[in-house]
Amino acid sequence: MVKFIFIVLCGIVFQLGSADAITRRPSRECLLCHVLWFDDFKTDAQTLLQEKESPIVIAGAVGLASSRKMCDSCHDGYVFDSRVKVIEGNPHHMLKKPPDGFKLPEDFRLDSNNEMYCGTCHTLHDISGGETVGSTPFLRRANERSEMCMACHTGKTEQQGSTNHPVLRKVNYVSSFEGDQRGAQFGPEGEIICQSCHNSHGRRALAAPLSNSTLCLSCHPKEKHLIATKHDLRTTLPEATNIKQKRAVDSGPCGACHVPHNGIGKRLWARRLEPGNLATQMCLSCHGEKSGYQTKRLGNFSHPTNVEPVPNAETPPKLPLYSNGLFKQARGRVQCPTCHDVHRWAPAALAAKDAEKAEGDASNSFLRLSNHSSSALCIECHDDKKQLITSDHNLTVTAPNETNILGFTAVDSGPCGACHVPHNAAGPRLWAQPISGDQDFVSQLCSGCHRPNGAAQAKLIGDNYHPVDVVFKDSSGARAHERADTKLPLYDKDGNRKPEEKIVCMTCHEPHVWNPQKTGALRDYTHANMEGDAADSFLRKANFPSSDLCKVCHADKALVDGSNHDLNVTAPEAVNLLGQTVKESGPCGACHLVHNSPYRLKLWARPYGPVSEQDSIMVALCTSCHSEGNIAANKIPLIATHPEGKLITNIMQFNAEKKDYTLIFDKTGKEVNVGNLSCPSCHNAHRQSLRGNRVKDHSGSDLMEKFLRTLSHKTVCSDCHGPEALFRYQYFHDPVKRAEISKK
Amino acid sequence: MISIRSLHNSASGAGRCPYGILFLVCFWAVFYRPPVLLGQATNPIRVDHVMDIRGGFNQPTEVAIGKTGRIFVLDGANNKVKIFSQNGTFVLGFGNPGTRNGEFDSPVGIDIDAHENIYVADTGNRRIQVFDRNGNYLRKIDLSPWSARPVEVEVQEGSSLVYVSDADNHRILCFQKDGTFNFAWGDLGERLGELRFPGMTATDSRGDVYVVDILNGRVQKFSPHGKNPRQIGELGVLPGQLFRPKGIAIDDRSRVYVSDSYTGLIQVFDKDSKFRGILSTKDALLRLTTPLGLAVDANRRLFVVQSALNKVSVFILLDK
Repeated sequence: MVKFIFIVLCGIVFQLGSADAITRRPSRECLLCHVLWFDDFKTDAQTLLQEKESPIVIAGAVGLASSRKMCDSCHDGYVFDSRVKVIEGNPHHMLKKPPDGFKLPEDFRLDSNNEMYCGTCHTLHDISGGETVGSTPFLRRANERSEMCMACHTGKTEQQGSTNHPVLRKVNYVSSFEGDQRGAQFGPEGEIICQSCHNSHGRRALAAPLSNSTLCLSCHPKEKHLIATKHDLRTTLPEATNIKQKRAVDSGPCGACHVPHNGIGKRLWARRLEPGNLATQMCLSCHGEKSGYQTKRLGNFSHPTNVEPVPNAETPPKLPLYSNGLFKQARGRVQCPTCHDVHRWAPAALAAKDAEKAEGDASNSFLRLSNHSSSALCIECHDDKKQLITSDHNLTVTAPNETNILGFTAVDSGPCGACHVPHNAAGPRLWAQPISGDQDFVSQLCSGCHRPNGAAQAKLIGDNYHPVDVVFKDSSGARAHERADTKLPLYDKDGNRKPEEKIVCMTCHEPHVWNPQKTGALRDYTHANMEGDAADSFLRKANFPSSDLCKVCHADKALVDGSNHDLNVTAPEAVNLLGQTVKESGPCGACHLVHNSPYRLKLWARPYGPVSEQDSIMVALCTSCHSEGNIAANKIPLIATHPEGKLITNIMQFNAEKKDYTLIFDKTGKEVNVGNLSCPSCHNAHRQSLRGNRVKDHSGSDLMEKFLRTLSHKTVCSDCHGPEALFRYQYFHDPVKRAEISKK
Repeated sequence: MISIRSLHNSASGAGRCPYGILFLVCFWAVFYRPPVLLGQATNPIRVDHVMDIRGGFNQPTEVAIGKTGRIFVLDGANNKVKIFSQNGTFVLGFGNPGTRNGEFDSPVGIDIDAHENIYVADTGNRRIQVFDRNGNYLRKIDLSPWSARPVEVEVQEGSSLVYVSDADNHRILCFQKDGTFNFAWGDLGERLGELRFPGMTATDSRGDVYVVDILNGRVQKFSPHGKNPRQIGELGVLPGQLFRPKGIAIDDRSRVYVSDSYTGLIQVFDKDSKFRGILSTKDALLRLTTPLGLAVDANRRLFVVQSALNKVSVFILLDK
């Protein structure tokens, strides 16, 4: 019994005595770090250590075993070499206190000074799940998908793609990535994770240096073409700083405009933004007037942005469209990056040679497509203008050395750029030629080249040409905007298309379309300065075989088609003063020259015929054909003149309708109220049939198809002579009787 | 039979309770440890601080002294070797990061031969590189066939042998200076002759090889051919014991100096492996910050690399 009590007491005493001591001898492995577990600390022996600490492991407390000093005692190069990884750069702010307000998860520890240290993230007793992809042994949590990183850096994964770089998404990773050598990792399924870019150890916190944006370019290889261009701000704006107050030389070329975290706006933007359309303002943060930088400006006249593509045009297949927030959308709008690839100076395989210094042209300038030889970029949207490339309005062919307002030759600026520049234009319509104050802007659009000493001096319009800058009215007096069927555009002086405005060159001409009946490139454009005809010549409508263009305005003259005065019917081989056959001039052009007529009167296109001193010059228009040796020699009236010297008054001028009334002209061809009759007094040269339909009998035997004017009585004579007209006609127009009278 | 009452009573007078006395005696015998004062046990060996050499180091590991007294510091994290004159004046430096000849990848060990040729354990590149005294590349010993991670190179004075500590395979490799492989010894383990992360080495005048056996907390002394292992120190925290031994140097009196990067102390053993004492200044133990490489020159100056402080401290050994 005594023995029993002694044993029990000894047990009690041992129990008490071991309250502050280790009851089991630790293994040698444990002692390698748990230095205080050496038995010597249970005694009063003076050890080699200065530190005095309880050998008891207290959950959550930091002891010598997990101090940085202990870690370094192996990771100094001899057991493991973590000098460069851990100690040198101190990217994770070891031995520093977490920032104010930083909430450290409970299972992450600080050292005895409340500072971060190795043991904040690591524990020798691995609980992370082992060494797998994206995971490092001895971590306090698994980190395959950056779970551990995000436990602390909570704000870095919000608004991904806008203000923070996306994570946990699969990426097209470039295997030659320099970060490979620095331990960059990806998620188990190839996702980008924090460790893909960040190296918690090492000289820097990034897996690759920023200076050349190697890190960014490893996943964004297409953007590498930005290097050594004008958008590489390291050289072009070396003192400019991003929102992190970093210069480009520090942030790297990508970092000048993008930051992976806490960007502003969208696209991780790193530069100051003015209010407004984000897609535009991003570019204006450098190119805007408020940027303060000596950069390219857009000028007062610049291509519109935040607009839909050209109406009725197909969605440009090769150009991206964007939302206001600069996300690509198939039905988006035209924004700056629609035309510009800001990361690439020259498209495709064109070398970005001297891109930092060279002045850009249509082949580069960060354009997505080269505009150099075929204006491919512009044509993507302005598909309806592409026929210009195969026409004389392509100045790269017809005037290659002609310069635009920016000083670029046509060759450098491309076909479109010769007349239009997207930025810093001289005026509306992005006009690329100087504008003077002598003329309305709309007139200068054509006269800029079609003038003496101009690029198109071989194609002038002469002294006598179709009136321009006049209000359109048809024969009934109706103005264009009052007519539903007006197809031709009218313009104000500033070149704005308005239905109530005036006729200008572009009313009849579409300068981008050589042949209105064709689309796309013209195969028959084989050389510069090809001569046009009535079917092309940049006319908005073909004027052959029918004068469709002229008829839009001169509808009352349209009945000439198919009549004996349609020379395409009666004299197709006849040529006008410009040597054009009817096929080349069109039916109207056989008698009227829109440009370069030697005669102001009716812009007459044929040599005047014989006319007596007493007759009006209007007679000469008719005798230009109806005279001996000319094409209508078989249609010369034997008695053509109304009794001479008989002044008459044009009574029909008082007719309220003034419809096709008998005209009286003076000798100069001016309409007067009192004078002698001439051919056009009785004849309407544009309407052969009084029935108002197409002529069926071209023999001229039908009295109703003799181009006669009439009002109500179907006979022109009766308009003046009343019922006796028939008798007068029978008497005076009988050749025999008339001859006798004449003798008298 | 003893009741609870009688037991209680016996506690009031020891003379009346022989079991109580017995219990106390037993208790004392089991738990009492006589106090040992560190100052008494360490047998301090006096040194005086002479100077510090600061050469823009970044975690240097080892220092070596040439025959002319020049000081060679392996500035490994900077991938450079830096040479100083006897008085600590910078003479020249060479090396850059890389894999080509003359370039380094985090080298850890260095030694100088009798001609002041420089041997560098180019750890990351798994090779030994040899340079002339001016830093011109001479040759290399490729260790990749042995899958070795060299953390130390030791040129035996008076012979053509070169010893290399292979930390990955826990062994010592021996080559001729021209790179011809001689032999190897050691394997992972705790027993005598086995190694666990061999680190710095030293050779004495007889050619014996001293290997710092880091995680075994000891130094092992081998014959020049790796035979007859003997142990100096043991894993522990008492004087004469080693916790993280790193640097080793042998002076002209065959005293063995061993640095401990955790305790910060440098302990001294004699040629018979007996603990002699701990280096001390006038007032206290010389406790340094992460002392690694050691070297003693002909003037009995002790050079200590304090890695975390990025400097080499020089002390004069005052013991006679």
